[in-house]
Amino acid sequence: MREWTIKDLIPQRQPIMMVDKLCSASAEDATTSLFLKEDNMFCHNGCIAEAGIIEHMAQSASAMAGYNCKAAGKPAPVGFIGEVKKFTLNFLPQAGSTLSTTIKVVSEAMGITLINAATSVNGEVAATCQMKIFIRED
Amino acid sequence: MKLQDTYFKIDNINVSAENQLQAQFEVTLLEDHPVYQGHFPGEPVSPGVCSLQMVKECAQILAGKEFFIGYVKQYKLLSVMTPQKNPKIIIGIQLTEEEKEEKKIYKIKASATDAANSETKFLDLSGELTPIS
Repeated sequence: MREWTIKDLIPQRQPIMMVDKLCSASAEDATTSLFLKEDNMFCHNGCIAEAGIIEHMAQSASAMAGYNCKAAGKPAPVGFIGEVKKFTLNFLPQAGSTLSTTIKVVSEAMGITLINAATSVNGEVAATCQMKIFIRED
Repeated sequence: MKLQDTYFKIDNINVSAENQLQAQFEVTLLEDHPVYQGHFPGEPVSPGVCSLQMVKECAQILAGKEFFIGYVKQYKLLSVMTPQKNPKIIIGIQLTEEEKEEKKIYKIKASATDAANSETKFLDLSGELTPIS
């Protein structure tokens, strides 16, 4: 797969860049990673807050959409979370760990993408959810 | 992360006379929070996940307990929120204590509207909060 830097793929900038790397991507699925630094804005008492996991999942989907737009010669779009459903938390990952996330597209229509996301640390699933993302192509 | 007093401040809390676990929080969004430098450059938009954290922090004050968000049944983001356009927000929260797998949890229902225009609804949340033991 062609290497883009993450800044080419997502519109967010520091302090809220919550994906380091798009590891694989296709039209239907993607995997991403994030090394969780102690000074990450979502960290609290050495763990990431739930909100940070959800943001990481959303930006993972955004990076995937960005990759597919770039591959089609279009700029990376801006995506907004429209809805989070069935977010289930098993544990809060600790600072110093690496989050690995899988995104699977369930459906895509009229600028709304429905995805399933699962975030793991060392193969242990920390959280899963369904998410509706509104894509705005400028 | 803690957003109270950097991302938002609480101006007033109205606890229901009938139910100590139900309240309206009047809050002000603070436009100087660094997150707006990155979300998005030149176009500040309040991140939906920060609103979720803000609701959680208000719920913690209401219950007098620290929580995990163990489960989100549904969290809907209904309109774009920015500290410039709608700095004053009203967050309504209702908590209900329940037993789940022999542990005490709190069901939460919450919503947020523009204090200047109650027709503008920003979010709807239903989920479960697990007290941190």
